[in-house]
Amino acid sequence: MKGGFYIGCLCVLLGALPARAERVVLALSSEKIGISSNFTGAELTVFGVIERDQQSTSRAGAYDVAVILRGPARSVVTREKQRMFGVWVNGAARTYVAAPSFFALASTRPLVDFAEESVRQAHDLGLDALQLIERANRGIDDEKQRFRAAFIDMKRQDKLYSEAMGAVKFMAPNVFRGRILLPANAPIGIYAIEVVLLNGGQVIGRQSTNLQIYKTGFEQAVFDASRQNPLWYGLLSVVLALGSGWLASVVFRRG
Amino acid sequence: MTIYLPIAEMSVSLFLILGIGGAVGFVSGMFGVGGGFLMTPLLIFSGIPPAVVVASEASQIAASACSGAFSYWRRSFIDFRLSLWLMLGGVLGSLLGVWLFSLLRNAGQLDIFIALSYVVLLGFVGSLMLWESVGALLKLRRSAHLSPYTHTNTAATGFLAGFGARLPWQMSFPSSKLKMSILPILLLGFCIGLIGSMLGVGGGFLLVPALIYLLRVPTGLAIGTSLFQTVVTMSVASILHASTTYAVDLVLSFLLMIGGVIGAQYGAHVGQKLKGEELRALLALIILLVALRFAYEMVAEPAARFSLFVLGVGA
Repeated sequence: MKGGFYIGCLCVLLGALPARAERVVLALSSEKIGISSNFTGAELTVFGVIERDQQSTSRAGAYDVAVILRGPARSVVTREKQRMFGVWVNGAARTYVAAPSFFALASTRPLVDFAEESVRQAHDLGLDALQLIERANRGIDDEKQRFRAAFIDMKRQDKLYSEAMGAVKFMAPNVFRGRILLPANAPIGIYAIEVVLLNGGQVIGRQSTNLQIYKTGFEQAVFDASRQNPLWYGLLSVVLALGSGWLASVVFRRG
Repeated sequence: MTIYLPIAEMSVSLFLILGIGGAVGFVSGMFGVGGGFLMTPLLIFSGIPPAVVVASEASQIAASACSGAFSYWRRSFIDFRLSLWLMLGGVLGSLLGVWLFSLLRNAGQLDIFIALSYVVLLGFVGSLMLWESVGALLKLRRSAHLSPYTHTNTAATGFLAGFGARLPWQMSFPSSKLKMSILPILLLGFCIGLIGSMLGVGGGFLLVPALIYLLRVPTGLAIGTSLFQTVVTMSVASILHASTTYAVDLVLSFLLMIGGVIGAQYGAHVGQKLKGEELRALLALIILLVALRFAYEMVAEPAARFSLFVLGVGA
């Protein structure tokens, strides 16, 4: 069944291609991923077809592809604990403005093998090349590096930032498939998926599309209620508490 | 089996949460306390953000206090008049507490504040209880003829009661056979409300001894009134948290309620087989252990020196 789905996707892709300049056409295994109470993560597959018109010169060497999945932007404070009177207290802090809450990169092979640092930094190719904007840019350079490294490290440990070399595979010379794992703690919101096509160390094509991760049914209702009707939500928690307390007291008495 | 907590935005093991609820419920049923002082640290240690833990627990504490309050009410062991004034102070304390909570959270100092308060508060209460109960147990052993129900603590000062007799706004509380100023009662309620809303504890383990020893309320009435008081302040705290910190996770609260209610049944059953002094000594040990755990956490080299805090969407 899965194979049939893949073939179906490819047919749609190939059929829809206009014959113009070199470009990438994308399709996702799912454009919406619902998080329900038993969500333990999901695998997202990106299909892409590289289309090249007849006039363009043929490329020397193979294509390289990087697939980047970016979660909704959030401003995050990174705090460092410092010892004060023998006790560990949050001390120095750096704020990253609009940092991606989720960042996963899948590529055909190790990024350093196919792109220069300047190219990688211009396109966020790799966690070490990811652009992070600091609010109130201050402090010495190595402090900045230390905080940046700590931030990325924490995100990696939470499985929210990741790199997977070799997770993009070519199924035919111009057809590829990339896999990205979404962990159970993936934040909800609109994600951007971007495919960067490289050849000979240069970016020759880019294409992006969106993906939505949302809470389904009950989870969504609870979350919405807590934000939109906080007072009623609070009252509901109290009613629930008093109700179950009363029920328990009745059970206790019988028991 | 995992379950997704919609406000904490994370998946947790269903059995872990039910287990924590059950274990704490067991302790709370056994000793007749709310158990928030145990629940908060256990949930924080299992990885749920402290803000969500404290906010979600308020309603769970209200639930467990409520089940006890009903049975005390049936025996008319609640001094509603006393409770009204405690509550007034408690609501004011909760308001200040929730405000301070947001302030500390945004400044990044909430975790250390919670840890420090726990060490001081639990260390103090635990040591006092252990001292008193071990003393009572030793006394029992030395004079075997003494009934185990004899009140051993004759040194209770009634400090606030004596103080309250001289202050203005005197009022009589017929059910508790008290006549005193409402000022110390308001102050007591205020402190408990403040502590409760900031630390995610009902404050029963503070209020009951305070009522007995400081205000000289009879023991049964002190427990009943404290339970009733806890129901009201924690309900208010829950609503306040829901509307200011948005951190109340109903799924978490509900799971804790279920575990807590079941655990409490078994706890109460076991508790009835132990002597009062033994129970108090055991509870004191548990309280001290929690305090030690927090103290260790504060001084030991942290596993992760860095922590992240999400400010909000975009800039």
